[in-house]
Amino acid sequence: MIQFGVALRWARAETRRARGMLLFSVLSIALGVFAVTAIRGLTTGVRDGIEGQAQRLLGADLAISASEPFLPGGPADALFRDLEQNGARQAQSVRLYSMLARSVAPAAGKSTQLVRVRAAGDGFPFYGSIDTIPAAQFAELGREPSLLLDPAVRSALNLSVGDRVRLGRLEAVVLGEFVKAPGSPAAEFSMAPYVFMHEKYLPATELLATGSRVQYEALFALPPGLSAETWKEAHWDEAVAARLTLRTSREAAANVRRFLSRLSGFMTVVGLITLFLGALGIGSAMFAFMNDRLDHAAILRCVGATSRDLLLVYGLLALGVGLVGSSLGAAGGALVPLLLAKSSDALGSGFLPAELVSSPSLAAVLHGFGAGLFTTLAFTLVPIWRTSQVAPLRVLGRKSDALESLGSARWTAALGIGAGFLAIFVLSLAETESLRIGVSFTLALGLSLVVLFGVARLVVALARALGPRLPSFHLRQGIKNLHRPGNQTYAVVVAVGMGFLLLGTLLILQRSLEELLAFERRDDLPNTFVIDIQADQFEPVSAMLTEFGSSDSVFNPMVSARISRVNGESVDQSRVERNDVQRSWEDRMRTREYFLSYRADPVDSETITHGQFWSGKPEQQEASLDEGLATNLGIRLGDTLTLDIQGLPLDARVTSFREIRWQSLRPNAMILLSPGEIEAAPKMIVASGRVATVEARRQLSERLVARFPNLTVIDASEAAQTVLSILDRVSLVFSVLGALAVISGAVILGGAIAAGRFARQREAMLFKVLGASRADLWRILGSEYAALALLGTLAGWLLAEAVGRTAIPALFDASASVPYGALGLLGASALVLNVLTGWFVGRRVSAHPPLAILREES
Amino acid sequence: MRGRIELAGLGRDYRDGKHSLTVLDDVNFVIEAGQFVAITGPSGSGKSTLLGLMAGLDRPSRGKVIIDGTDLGALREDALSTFRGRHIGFVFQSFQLIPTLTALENVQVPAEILGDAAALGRAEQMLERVGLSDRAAHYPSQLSGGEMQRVALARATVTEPAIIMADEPTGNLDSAAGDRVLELLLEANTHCTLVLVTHNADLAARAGRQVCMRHGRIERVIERPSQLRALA
Repeated sequence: MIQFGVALRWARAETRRARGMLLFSVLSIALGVFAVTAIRGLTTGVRDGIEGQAQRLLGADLAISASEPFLPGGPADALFRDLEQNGARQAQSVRLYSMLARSVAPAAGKSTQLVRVRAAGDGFPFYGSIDTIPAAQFAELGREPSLLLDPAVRSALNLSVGDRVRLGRLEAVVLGEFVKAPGSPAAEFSMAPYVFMHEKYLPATELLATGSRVQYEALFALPPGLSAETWKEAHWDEAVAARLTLRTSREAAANVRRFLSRLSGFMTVVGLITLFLGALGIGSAMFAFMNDRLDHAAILRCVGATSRDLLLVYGLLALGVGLVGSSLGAAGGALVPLLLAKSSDALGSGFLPAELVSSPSLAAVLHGFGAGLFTTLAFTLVPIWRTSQVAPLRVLGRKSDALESLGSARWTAALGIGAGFLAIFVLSLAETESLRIGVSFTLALGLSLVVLFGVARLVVALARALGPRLPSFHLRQGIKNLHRPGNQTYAVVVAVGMGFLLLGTLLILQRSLEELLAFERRDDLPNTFVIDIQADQFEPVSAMLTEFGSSDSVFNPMVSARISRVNGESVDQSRVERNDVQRSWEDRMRTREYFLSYRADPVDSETITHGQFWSGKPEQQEASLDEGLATNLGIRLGDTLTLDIQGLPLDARVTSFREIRWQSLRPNAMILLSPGEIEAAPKMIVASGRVATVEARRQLSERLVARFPNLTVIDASEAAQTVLSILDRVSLVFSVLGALAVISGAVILGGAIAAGRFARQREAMLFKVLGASRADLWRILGSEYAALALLGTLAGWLLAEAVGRTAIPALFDASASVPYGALGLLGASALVLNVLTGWFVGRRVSAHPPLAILREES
Repeated sequence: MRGRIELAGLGRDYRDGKHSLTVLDDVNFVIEAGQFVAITGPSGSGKSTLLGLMAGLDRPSRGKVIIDGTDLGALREDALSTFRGRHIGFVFQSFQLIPTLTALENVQVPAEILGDAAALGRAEQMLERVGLSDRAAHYPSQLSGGEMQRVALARATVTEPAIIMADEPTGNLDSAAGDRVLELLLEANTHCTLVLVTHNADLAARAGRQVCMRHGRIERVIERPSQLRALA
């Protein structure tokens, strides 16, 4: 075996005359590592930020929450006593959605606004502070009925300090606005903007009617030595029995963290695709490079080098490329959180509750670096191994026999693909830490590649068939070049296609969601929802909806309830994840409170999948369940559910399952009962309807709230704007990642061109000898690069349309909307990028005098 | 002196799909250490195949190649590589220099593979011997054909192998450059066995023994006394 130093020297020598090509290999892997490191750094930064500021986010160490008030002698009493005896301090907090109205309606503009009310008692927050403008107004909330507003509310209702507003039946004065500083309780994310008030004025609002959706919270600051986690663990069963939810500061901002966790999951997957494209780039470039080095390897073998020697030399070379690429990518990726922390407004002011930790994450850097190195070795192992096995006989010109010992090319290719997929599986497992996602991702990527490769073959074959009929010589020649041996045509087409597939699917999804949420144009959807209608308000609210031209108004009674038993057995909550952040959707179904409804007939927006829907008013109470809920809780037809309706039990026999199309926006319930005993339960009513114009909806809202201050009126168009603004921010992140994938495609093309430089130079020389000008050569090469980009774009476009047109109806029950203009622009950008990259990399091809090339080749 | 080559019942077939093609059959002869043997014959007669088998670059379909008592067929792939490195030096018609290494680095390659410090130290001396000490830092693309072949010769001899095998070493050179290379080969032959494959009758006439091949078999062997060689 040769000495390590010698192998290193030879590896370095092998980079001579190939540095351009190797630079593209470095860039390929650097782009992938950049994406992976940046994503991990960002998610780590957000997670660390939230964890480091957890106490200040919750404003306490522990929160006990319930959907009913904490009454003396109630189920929470024992827990409160235990905490008090341990020296904990307590503060009360209540949250609910309601309408805030100006006391005096302005001549123009809005006078009502949906808000999330947070009524906090003395002592809150125990940690951190809530800054206000004017300063120090939070402590003043208890002096008189008053409010502190989210800046968005102040601006929407055009309110100033001292203005009077109405919340339910309470008249209050505006003290100012609070600062949504990351890392404070005021930064909490909500679908409606917050307003703060003192808890003692809440009863005066008369918003706490039975059946309304209100969250009561007792917050505790624990004395030193008493751990919130230990206390929670010790009292978990008691809390579950008392229908209480326990949350420690470590679980603060659980909703946002769960959302970010899913988002980071998606981002990680997109990052992995970029890394895979990088791997494809380095793999295809190294394959071309190794093909070029077969002669060198044969000479070395001839003069005594063993296959292990060659493995070491070329392995070191690949390792070097991987090291440089991974280092560059990891360093660049580590800077992203730093840059974003400085411009966090773009990412999500009012969206992220905590300050982003802006120091580079060493873990993210090491992770990205390791992933890059691993990918490089996995994707270059086969070409290196193949080269190390070359027969020395090749030096005698017996090239056809030189690879005899390697078996057929198909086996080598299969081995390479197998190694690649194994690496992708291992990486996705390491990145997502989920076997399910790892397997799904690998299979999905494999399927996409097979389809892309198939489509690529098809379009290339089509180009081959149609190419000779093209009128222009340059075009004909450019397309013929696609079939040049070692041209990496399919690798480039697949890479460009994969980038286009990512961005194209994103554009289709974005446009489809915009169309889906364009309530103004969608006559089929309700756009106005009135919540918390009490029984005695039903008639006048209904009349007012009709007065404002609401078509297709539907009223649904809603009763809050929990499932306490199935066939007399308690629902198994023993294995429910206790950490709120990590609790799954399935676990939530076991513990949550439901708003159930009752009616006599099925509606259009649901399908009975099993059993028989009741007719009229059966003697015994019957239940129809959402199919997913039934599957998750293991409920079968004929089972008896015991529902806990605000403390009172009610039995119902399950007689049917339904599939609910929530996308119809028609109010519905996962648990639906037949009319019967349930009608006597305390309830509220939700109404939905379609009111034609923005102005009519605004007036309806003002009239309803003025007459019934307890009502919450939601304009779906406004809510859709909130969703769309979040969607825009998320899309921005994905667009950046998708753009990286498209750039990866161009880098792969650059690498392939650099790898096939000599073949192109030989051709150029021949064309020159035969009378071609430099302009002719540029046109031929430009046609080739444009054809590669076009074919990749076409393959990606076809697949993106297929994915969009299949997935969107399945996910959103809506037809896909394809933004042809945006896709065309994207395709044109990819084409220009590829042609420019190609020309830049191959710029010397046409400049070489034929004799110089002959000399170089000899 | 080392460098004895014994070929016994040597044959090589190639498969082309379902068909088998015999390119070498029943080759038997012995080359004694220090001999200069030329293998001649028309194109397709099996000269290069025979050279490949003798050098252990290829495996025979049947028969044996024994060099200084070592049966090449008994060696595994890597052991065969090491054997080649230690015992055989090569010179090819197309030079087969590694274009990414300088002339000196190319000469050093076999020494580096063997980890032979003495040979490594000799590399510059070998370049000087072939008259290229001033071209040591040049890459192959910066050398003429004759210079490249002299570098290849320096590389072939740097480890002081027992045998030099040359495949048309002057085929790509003009007569002056070819003569210079031949001179160097003959000089090397004073220390080792020289096996040379050539079409060139003049070149073959300089050998002590000429093996004429036809249709994959030895057609005849011409022995030449040293006086006749001097005349040639």
